[in-house]
Amino acid sequence: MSKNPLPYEILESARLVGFDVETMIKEETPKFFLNYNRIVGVKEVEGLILAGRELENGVMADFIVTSGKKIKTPVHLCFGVVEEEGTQEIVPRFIIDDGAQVLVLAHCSFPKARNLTHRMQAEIILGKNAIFLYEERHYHGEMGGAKVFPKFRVDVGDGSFFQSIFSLTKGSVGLLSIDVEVYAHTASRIEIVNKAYGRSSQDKVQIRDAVFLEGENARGLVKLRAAASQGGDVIMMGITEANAPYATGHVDCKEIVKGEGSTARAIPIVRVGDENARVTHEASVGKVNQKQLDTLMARGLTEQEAVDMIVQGML
Amino acid sequence: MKPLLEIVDLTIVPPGNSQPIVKSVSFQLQPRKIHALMGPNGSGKSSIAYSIMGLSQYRPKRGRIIFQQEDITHLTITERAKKGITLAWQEPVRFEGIPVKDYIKAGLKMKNEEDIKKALQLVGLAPEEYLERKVDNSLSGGERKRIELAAVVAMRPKLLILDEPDSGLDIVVYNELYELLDAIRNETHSSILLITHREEAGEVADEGTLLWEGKVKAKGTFKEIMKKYCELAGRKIKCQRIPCPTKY
Repeated sequence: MSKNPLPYEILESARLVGFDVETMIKEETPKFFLNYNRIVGVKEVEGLILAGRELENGVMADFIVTSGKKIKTPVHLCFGVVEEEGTQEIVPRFIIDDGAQVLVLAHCSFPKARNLTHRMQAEIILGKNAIFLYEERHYHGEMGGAKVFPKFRVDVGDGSFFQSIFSLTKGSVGLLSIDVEVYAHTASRIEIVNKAYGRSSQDKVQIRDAVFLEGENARGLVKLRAAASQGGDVIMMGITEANAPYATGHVDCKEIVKGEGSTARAIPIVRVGDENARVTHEASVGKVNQKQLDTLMARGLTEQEAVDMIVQGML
Repeated sequence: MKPLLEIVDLTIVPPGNSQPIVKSVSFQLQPRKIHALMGPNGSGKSSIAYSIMGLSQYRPKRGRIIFQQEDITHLTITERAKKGITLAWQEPVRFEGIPVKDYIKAGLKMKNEEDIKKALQLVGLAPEEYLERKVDNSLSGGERKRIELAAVVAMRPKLLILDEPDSGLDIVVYNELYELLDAIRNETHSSILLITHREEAGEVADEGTLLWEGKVKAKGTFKEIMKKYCELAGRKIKCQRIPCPTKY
């Protein structure tokens, strides 16, 4: 395996979304890299098993942290495609065994996408008292030609913590449809954060995050932040159901909209199936604060630069 | 010397008003001077400030704004800012998630971190403590006002409009603020249009204009203005709430 198996464009987009590329490509950094549908970089460390198989249109992969192992350095995943057209289907399975801990930084980059489809169908299983922190940052280029469908099914064991942070705030979106379902068992803790910015009429964002608090004392937070400008279309649905005693959850949706033809919808859905459980929600959708715009424009920013700065701050 | 800014026959009907709040106002601001625009609350001072800055809701119904001999009445906020005009708000807005350094940097042509640090130091804030903090509700009102001042000072504008820079500040920091205005002028060589209803603030001004019910009632030195101010305030019972500087 070469030291730097990824194309220049993928590395640059990783840098653009804020990843430390030098660390990411270091030989000793635990990693699993794809270039289109080829596995081009794998580095395991003690307690971390990474195994993949190439398929015609994608890759199947197992990502396992063995019982009690705490992976000290972040594990980098990279799913990149520099082709303009095609299909990439990823079917990963993450198993974080009892007492294990890991932080995963995932980078999905499609910098030249014109008619490119990316599907991910992930299964995530946390054992007991495990910690899985997962951060995924996307870059879909500037042409609005990506169609991206990440789907996650997550089972969080007793006393475990699962955190997922997704962001797509640079460049165009194209079509993004995220579907996450998390099942939380006794005394587990869930935190889902999604951030997206649709900034043209080609950009459509659809997000459905659902957390089912099935165990006693389980806790969940769904936090959605989005913006739509210049005809962008964003719909975010945050769902939390609490079906066990003393389970508590909160759904927090905030979206801002700017420009003719832009639409933003926030739909919090809360359901309680136990008299001792509690779920709260808040949602706001509104235009960009005029005084914020005026303030930044009085510093010399154009209106669009000011909108971008306000949105990036919120996201 | 040619004036930096000329306000000619300005009439403004702000949003939510059917009648003008500013009525045929004219005055001039000379280069590198602090000009106090004084008057009680509601006299139209802030409306003039917003109109000079180019806020769309404060576009003049009549009159002209001349900056460096160029009519800028129809320019946008951004265009005016690029010409060297900026405004520090009476109540600066807060921004979720934007660090102080990025907020200040936004207005700088050369994105030099040393300039940002220097501006923070000038307004009495330690850069190492504030650069990474967010311009949000975690800042006190006084801190937010100082950061607003730092942001406009760092731009080194030709014309700096300060809208009630002392409002919301503790009385003990007033003197510090007035010293700061002098320091800003000396540091940036900017002209300052100081919007205020406090006569103490006006004391730092070289010259001024007194507004009363939307009209110019006096122009000249600070003392000349204050004489007229007291005369007018004395006639109006409601204005007895304004501390009248009897020494004038």
